[in-house]
Amino acid sequence: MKDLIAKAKNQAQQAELYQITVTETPVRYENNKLKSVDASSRQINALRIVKDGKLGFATSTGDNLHPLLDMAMTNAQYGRDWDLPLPGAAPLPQVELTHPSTELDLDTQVEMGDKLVRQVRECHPDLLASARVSTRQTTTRLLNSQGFAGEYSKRTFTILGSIELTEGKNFLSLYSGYMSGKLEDQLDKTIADLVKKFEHGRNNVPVKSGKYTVIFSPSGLGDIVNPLLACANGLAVEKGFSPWKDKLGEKLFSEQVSLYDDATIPFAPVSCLFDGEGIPAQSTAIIDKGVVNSFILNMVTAKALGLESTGNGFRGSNGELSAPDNSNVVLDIAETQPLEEMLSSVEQGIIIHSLMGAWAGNPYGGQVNGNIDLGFLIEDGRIKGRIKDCMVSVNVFEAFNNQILGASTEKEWAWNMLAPHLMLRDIAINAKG
Amino acid sequence: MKDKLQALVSNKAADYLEIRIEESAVTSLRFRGPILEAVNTSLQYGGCIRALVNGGWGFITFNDVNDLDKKVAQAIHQAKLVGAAGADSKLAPVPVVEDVVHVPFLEDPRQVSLAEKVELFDSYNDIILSYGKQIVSSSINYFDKYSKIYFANSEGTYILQHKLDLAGNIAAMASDGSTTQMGRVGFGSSIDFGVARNLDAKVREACGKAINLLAAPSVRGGEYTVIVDPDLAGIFAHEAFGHLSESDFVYENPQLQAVMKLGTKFGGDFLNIYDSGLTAGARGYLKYDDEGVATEKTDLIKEGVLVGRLHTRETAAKMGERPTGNARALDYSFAPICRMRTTCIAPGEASLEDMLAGVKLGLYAKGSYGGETNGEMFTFSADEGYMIRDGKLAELVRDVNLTGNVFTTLGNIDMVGKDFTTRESAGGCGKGGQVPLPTSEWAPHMRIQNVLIGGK
Repeated sequence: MKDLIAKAKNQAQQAELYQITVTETPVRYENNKLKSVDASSRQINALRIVKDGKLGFATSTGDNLHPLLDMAMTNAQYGRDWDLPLPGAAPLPQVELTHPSTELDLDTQVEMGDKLVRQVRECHPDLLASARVSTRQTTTRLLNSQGFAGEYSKRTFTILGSIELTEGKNFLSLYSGYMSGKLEDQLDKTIADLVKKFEHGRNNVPVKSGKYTVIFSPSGLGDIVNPLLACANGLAVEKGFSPWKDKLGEKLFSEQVSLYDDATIPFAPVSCLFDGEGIPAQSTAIIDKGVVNSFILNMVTAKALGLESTGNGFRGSNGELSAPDNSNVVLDIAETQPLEEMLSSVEQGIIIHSLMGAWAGNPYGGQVNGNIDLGFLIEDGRIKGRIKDCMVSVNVFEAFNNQILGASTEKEWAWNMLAPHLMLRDIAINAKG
Repeated sequence: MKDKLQALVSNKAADYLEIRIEESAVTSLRFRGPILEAVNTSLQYGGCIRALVNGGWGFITFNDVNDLDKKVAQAIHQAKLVGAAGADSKLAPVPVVEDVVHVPFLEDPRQVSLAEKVELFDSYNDIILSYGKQIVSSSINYFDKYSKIYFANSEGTYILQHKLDLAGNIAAMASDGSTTQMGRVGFGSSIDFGVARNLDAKVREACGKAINLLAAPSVRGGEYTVIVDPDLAGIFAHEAFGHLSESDFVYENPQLQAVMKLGTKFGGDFLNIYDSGLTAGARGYLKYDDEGVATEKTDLIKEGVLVGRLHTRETAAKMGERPTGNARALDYSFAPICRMRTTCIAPGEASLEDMLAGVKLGLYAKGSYGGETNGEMFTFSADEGYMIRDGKLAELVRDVNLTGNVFTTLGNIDMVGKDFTTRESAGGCGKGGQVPLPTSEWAPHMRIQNVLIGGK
């Protein structure tokens, strides 16, 4: 790596080599049986250079570093103007990334998958259970001509369980899972969650179109939070299509609402020591008590906006040029109550665990329309059954401003987002018939 | 390469063994607003080995193509472990093939200089950015990927496939300060850079569309008679029916097999749906799938009746049916799974006027923003919609998201257009973490009764 940087420095003013190696061993159960044991090992290299004030870039796989410099030099003829100094050596934050509990051998992974499949199958003789138990070891290295030389390794595990039950033309498909750098009780929680959803989803109940009190569980909240993240993204702000572009410091939402991006949470899925450009990991309040407080920025979008990078210059899975992206997302709602209390307070409402197709809309308008993939009707504080063939429509900007009825004290990880259950009032549901 | 790969997979302690080595070069460009933000060249080289022992699969993937013997041994070791746990995977027989497949180029993107590519997309960017003051930004993505894929298995098949996949998306963003709307042009091909040329008129049209949508109201939610344009009808074929035809969803689910029994009537006599690998030029074109099986045109629904489904060798063996060449892997880092190629609704006899006639209140939905399915229900988003009032197209509406039950909706299609349209886009299909896989969707206009539209 050092040789390449040294060589690049002879031909260009600045150079940076980003390298990531990933090894992963997924164990897959499919339709109640162990299906496959896999192993993957990958290495991605990405060279960024600045030549005569222009950016050049190229990537390769494996140990094929040799052609990168020539390719990047060619591309620099057309590259964007670049007058930013790459970051030099800097102290990195202490972030706990990997807990010894995630060191799982193959037999343990097989046993975990087996336990999941065995236990959820007890729900019903005809259901098909699938599972994936995987550990992933990642080493990230970044070296540049300005003196930054960073490296960190992290290991995460993933547990993913699913249930399929087909009865005539009625399909029930359920998913649950976790990704984390620390193995605690996630296997048991995944099993319990699947079993609970299965019990609630066994019977379908009719639902009429109208306005409802709707509770979004943490896994159902992703699509609802997405427009906020899209509007805060530095690229959308820089290019002028984020409606928040001149709203920094304005209160757009209820003061109950705070939203953070935090790459320093111990053992969280996307925690790191530095981003894909060598900027130290940090915590950023995107929304602070209802006020738009910060955008999510990498070096180049920060520069264009006259701001500092928030350490969100992440690279894609193939080492692509950094783009502003979220690390771990935390949603905080100020006033909370225990989940059970919240549920039992609902006279008539709906709880949504998963939406389908809601990502497909235009996030900058704040309108989210999705088919309710998994949702249950609540009456007099009790779950009555599953609702189907219906859509939910939320204007997220309005919802986070004046439709919040409550949030649960308990928070759960849904992949890279830590969030409570969120209860909203007067949410439109459109149903067949 | 041939001798080396064949020696690796021959005479080993496995019931079946295959190796795939892939060498790819990717060029990509990205404009955001006036700036050419990224020009990237990427060289990718890697491989994978899949072993079947006593019904169990072992799969390994790697960039380091040294010590392949050791990797074969590791895949076999993993497969044994799974086989010992009672797995029962097996493969349907297929002909042994030796072949070298070349790309039948119309225009090879590798012969087009980077300078010319930059200039071409810059010219589209200029059209967008000089269109008018409500256009606030642009977003242009382009890539071409040229791959050489070597495949050998323990049955004696050896195939070298040269493949091209190229695609792009040119988007104009309009804003009025409170909302941002988009108009887009997509293109794609497996043989021709020419599809990226001569798009000026379409790019202008996209700009106009983005601006018009700013003033359009959101569609009012409810049930409507909906006419979908060929773009959306194609997405319907893919999301609403194509995924359900993928046999890995069905092959170990007896309850679903009863629902998806061949011979079952799902739609009107005018409804014909097929999936084909033979569509040269389409992004969904492929001569052989990633199990070395020759592709074909597979009829799924004929005159409203279910007549076929999409198979890998494993799903075909389990169901006692014939492999159809639908085992596809995104690249060397994935094992093949059951996927679509080019999914089509065959032309019917109706014109757009026929479809509009008699619709008192309905919606004409145009352009696809993408879709999703969970098997039973599907949803997809349109770029724009026009209300239909008393048989005539009326005002423009936005935020059009359609949803429905697959089975009910197939039965609710009451007209299929005669204007069958081939269409390519920069999107791709996602399944099992393998995204975006190049697929194509071709269809005519189509009319569906009682479609649920989301909205206030």
